[in-house]
Amino acid sequence: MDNLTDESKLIIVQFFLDDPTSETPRIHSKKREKRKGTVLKELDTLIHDLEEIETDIDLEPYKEAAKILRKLRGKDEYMSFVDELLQPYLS
Amino acid sequence: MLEKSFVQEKKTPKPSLSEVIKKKDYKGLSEHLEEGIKDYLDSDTFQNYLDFVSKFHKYSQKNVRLILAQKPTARYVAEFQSWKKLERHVRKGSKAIYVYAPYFKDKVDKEGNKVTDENGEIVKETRYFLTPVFDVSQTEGKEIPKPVYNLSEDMNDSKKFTQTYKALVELSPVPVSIQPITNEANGYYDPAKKEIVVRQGLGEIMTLKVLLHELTHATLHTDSQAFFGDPTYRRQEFEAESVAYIVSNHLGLDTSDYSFGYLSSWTDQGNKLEELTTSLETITTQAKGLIERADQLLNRVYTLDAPKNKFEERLARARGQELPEPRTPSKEYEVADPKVHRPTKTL
Repeated sequence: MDNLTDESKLIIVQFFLDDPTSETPRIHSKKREKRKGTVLKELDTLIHDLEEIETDIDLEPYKEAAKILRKLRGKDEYMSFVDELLQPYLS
Repeated sequence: MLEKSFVQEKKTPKPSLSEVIKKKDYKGLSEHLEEGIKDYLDSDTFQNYLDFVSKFHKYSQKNVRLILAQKPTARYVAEFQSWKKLERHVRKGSKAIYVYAPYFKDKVDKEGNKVTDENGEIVKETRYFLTPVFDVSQTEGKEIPKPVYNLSEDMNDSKKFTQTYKALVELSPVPVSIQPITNEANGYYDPAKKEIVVRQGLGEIMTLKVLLHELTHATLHTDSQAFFGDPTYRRQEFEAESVAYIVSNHLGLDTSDYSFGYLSSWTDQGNKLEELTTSLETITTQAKGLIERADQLLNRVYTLDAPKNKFEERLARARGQELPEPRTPSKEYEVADPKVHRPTKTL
């Protein structure tokens, strides 16, 4: 997790938020339970969609986030990764 | 003879906003926004800002200015996935607009240990990153929902005016009355008596506008000691008028009689540019609060009055959506009917 930039971490966190671009972000209670497969699927779809529309967005942080998510092995590793990411939003 | 050679000092041209954003130069962007505040001394730029906030009041002044600096015609922005959920798609080749989004993390020391405060709580830190959004004009698809009310279309219906007036009175932190006023003022907020008085017989639209103006004074300038003509008084008037403009515009009232000429002499009046940034934040926050609370009240009362659409109800049930309980009128609307002169077509 430490080799992931904060920008890429924010990209992952946004999949768990009520409103991803809010200035006062809150974790969505149902999204909180998202599995790794779901987040990865959503992230891959987003990268694909953004490539499709040929926008000028730098997709590297998105790809970096997907790469790290893929590397996580097993449910426990994923859960501990997500818990650490979301904890500062919950307290 | 020695030829004197001059090396002309080359000035590096200032990078454009899109270059600064592309480079993710956060320091440069901050400077850009700081300098950009002077553009708001132009009343058209300022009015465009107010128009944006009246339609879309989710962000702070900093993000609103950032959005408008990238796309002055922007009106509603959302990230790619939200447009998709609204069954609208972003057009190919669209240039993203960037907003600041906060990222919270636990603070760590040089050794990588989490930093705690005196109570043993982990200290959090916030970093801001630019995150892409798109304006509604860059998308196409299903029509976006409109508010259930639009006063300009319905001002001939006295019921609409009464409902709106009562909703605004509910939002007021002090009692409101409509009375004859002996001087030339259309209304006032009295900090000593903690009350708002609106001149009787102003007509419906003007009554609402004056009430919105005084409501802002009653909320923001509660114990104001400012006297007519001093810089504080002028700044407070400017803030109240700006909020009244945003909320009036949001409610669909005619706003063509508002003007912000005062801005052109902002610095001559003894105000600093930083104070304009503060005022923008004050105006944006106050307007956002008023709009959100007014929307809640008005949506409730208008939906209550609106005939139920049985087809939509059935469709929602078929989709497994939960339907809200039937609403009943609350005590909130037990405010005396305002005394205004009708009809007032000349307004």
